[in-house]
Amino acid sequence: MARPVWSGTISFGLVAIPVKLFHAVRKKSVSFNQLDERNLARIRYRKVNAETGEEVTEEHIVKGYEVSKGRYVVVDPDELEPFMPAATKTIELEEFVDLDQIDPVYFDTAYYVAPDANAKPYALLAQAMEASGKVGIGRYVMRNKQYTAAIRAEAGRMVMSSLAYADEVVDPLEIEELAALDEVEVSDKEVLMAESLVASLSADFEPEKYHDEYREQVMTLIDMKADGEEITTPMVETEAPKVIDIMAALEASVAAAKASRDHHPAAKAAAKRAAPRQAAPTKATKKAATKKSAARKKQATKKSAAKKKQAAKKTTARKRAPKKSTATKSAVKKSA
Amino acid sequence: VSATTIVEIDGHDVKLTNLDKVLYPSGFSKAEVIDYFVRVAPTATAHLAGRCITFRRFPDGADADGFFEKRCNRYRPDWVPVSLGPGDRRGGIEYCRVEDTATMAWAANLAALELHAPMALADDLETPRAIVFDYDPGPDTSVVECCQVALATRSVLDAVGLAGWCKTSGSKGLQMYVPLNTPGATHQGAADFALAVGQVLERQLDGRVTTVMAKVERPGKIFVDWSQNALHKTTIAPYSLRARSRPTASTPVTWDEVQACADGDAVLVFEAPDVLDRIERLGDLFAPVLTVEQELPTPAG
Repeated sequence: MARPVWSGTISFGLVAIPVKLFHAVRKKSVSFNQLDERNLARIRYRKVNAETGEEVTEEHIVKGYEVSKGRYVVVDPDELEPFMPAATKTIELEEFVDLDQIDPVYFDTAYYVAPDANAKPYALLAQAMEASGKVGIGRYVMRNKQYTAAIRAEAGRMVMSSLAYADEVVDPLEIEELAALDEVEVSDKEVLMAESLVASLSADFEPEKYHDEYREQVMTLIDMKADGEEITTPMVETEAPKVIDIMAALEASVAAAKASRDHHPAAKAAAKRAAPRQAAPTKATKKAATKKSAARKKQATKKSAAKKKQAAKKTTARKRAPKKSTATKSAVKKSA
Repeated sequence: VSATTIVEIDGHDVKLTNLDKVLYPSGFSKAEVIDYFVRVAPTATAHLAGRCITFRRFPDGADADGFFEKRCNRYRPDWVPVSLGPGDRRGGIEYCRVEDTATMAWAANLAALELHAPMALADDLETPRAIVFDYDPGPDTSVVECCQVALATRSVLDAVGLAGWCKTSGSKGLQMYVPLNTPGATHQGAADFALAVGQVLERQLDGRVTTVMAKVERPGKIFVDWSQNALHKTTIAPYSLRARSRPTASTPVTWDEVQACADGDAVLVFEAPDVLDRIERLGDLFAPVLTVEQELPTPAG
């Protein structure tokens, strides 16, 4: 049995319709628990003081808002209390609009609206909305937060979606790559070709066609493991891969990554910003190094010559077969 | 569906996946990471060979959460060698050993951007091959101060006849390795010595150095992390990449470069292509760390 997430009334004008809300979408990602591999006990989080590392008990934890880096304003729950929206338990329908006027980007969480107690007023409202093709817009409070809702009717049932606030929707012009689209020029012929491609791929939307293949594969793996089957590799090969030379294999991808960095407007700007910082020090290093080393050379040669002699003496005196680490031996051979 | 490419390296099949995935915010792709690992392998594996290597993997990219993988991946190919290393109370952990180009390519394909190595070899865990001084810049300090402290360390060590070699951490700091490569060295002895030197520096460079780990001690100071010399500790391996916004690597540097950095004339930041270029021009600046034999001064009496 599905459980309601909210119950209250839809009100408009003088009518009040008791309803319950149920989630219309249930997210199905695979969630794992963190375990200690030694005895498979669950991993627990502790709240610790970032400075001292000591555990902090609930009574010492307050809410702070970071005003600027490292500067906090502490806010007491009592101070927030007056602003809390009253839990009114009503969805006030304020107006009715056409569905296609709402940009889909605004739609957030979807709920089924079900009648509570008496179903008749619910059925009446649903039919009236469906007949007029309108969507009711209203406000409601859930868990101390105020939301805007759009309620639409379909096949005698009402579906509600919470809506994003206008100032929460990101202005596309803030995104450099989108703003740059204005400068792209295309010919009519190119548009026609693209349109015919779209037309050739046009179909009715069948949501059942699309699956979360990753989740399905992971769940199969988990089921098999739970049944005691030993799995050595979860990899699903899709095409027969060829054994090829590594540099040849990487060449195309490396070139593509470099090319996309060079052409990408954002990356280009970033590179430009980074370039002077990088170029300057290298030059400075070289200059400083030559200048310095010239000045220091006299001293240094004397010193290092003396050291070398000492070092040479040391090594001859200590020449014995290094018993340890065949690994180091082979490594030394390789690097030589 | 991810395309898989299988390549053959020195007789081993290595499976490469998602080559076009971008692993660094700068746009550096997985193919480029693998390319770097393969090209740097002949030099880098000398410093990894024979050791228990800890992988720090970033499958979702350098700017996402990564994770440490000490236990060698259970799906490893059978040609990747493993060794028992420091573990938990219930015994050792089987770590990967990274000793050839094929294993480097395999690690790169796991997005093991960072390879961390201990000071000791796997077949003699109790004997550190070198002492590490890890210079960690606190708030309001940078690699410049790290270089200054490294130079001061060099003078202190000079007085007792010890030589050291520096590399960048690939992140913000600098590390100096003092090779031992002699029997009888212990982790405790190495840590004690590094702490003692750190305390000398604390006194010499009043207020600019700390040997205390507490964060409150760190602003404006270089933390000389002597505790990196413990048995179970690892340090970023020479030539390993770091998970930062750009593909910077832990890069061995010359003392002239450390001096230039200390004078503010050089910023010691090297990215993967720079490192390959340096190896071609300068060879393996860190090679002496594997071969030079030195002994710690023994306390009198």
